[in-house]
Amino acid sequence: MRSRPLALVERPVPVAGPGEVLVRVEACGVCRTDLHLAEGDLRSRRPLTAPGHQAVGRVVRPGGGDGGRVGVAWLRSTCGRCRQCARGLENLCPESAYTGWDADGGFAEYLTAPAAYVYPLPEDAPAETLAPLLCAGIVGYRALLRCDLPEGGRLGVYGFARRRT
Amino acid sequence: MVTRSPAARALALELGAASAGDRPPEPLDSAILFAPSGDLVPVALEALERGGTLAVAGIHLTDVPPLDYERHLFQERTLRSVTANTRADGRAYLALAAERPPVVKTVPYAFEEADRALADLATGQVSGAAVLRIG
Repeated sequence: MRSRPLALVERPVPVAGPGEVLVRVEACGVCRTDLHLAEGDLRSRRPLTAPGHQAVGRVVRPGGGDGGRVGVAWLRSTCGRCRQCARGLENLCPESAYTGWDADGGFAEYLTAPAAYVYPLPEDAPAETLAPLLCAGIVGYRALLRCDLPEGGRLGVYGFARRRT
Repeated sequence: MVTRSPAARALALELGAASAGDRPPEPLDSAILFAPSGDLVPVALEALERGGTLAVAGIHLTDVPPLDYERHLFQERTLRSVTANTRADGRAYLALAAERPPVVKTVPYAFEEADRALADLATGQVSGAAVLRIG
């Protein structure tokens, strides 16, 4: 990995667009996908985009009130009209957009996200233990569904840590 | 759990994995490949029980070497990819996690240390989930 791919910069607090919420970030998980973006394994889609797609934070209502804790995950939006969306496979939508790739993510004090794509989260758990659930947890769950583990079956997981040699 | 890292093996066993090592001790019914290494695809397929399924869960994978039909796919072994998730997956998983909270081992970093967190992830220095504390 090239050294220091990230730069700490000051930017104005983003403004939530129609259908979006403004989120004040408490914690954000660091995922291998962030590393793929930093290393160029995944081509950048938008210059100078803040990475991070496991963001736990609090919704800031217009006027400044607290709108509760939410999670902002990788899937940011889909078209809702294509064949894949109609079949319940919005993850395969050709127009799908992603947090920290197509829009600024959670390596920031604030971010905006479509309200329909954020998840309510418990108030009583530490933000840093909730953050990894938003990608490692959710995508791991989908992977578990996809691998058709039979009742009482034996599951193997390859790659529990990344080591460079 | 199949991993080369001694720290990852120890963590996997601590979190309840039945075994942790270079290869599974017996044929697997199912497997998930999180490592971004295509070289592991034939290895994981060969370690499946007849009728088993391998799901590749990463968004990026290096090239997969040629597969040998008889060794890697015959006997109805299945190779699948996993692409992100649906919101239904997210809601279902988070409901399960609220009901039975998973044990999460985190490695916290200050917001200003995001670069270091990425570097540590790249070199396998993170034993658990790296998390930036921001606000």
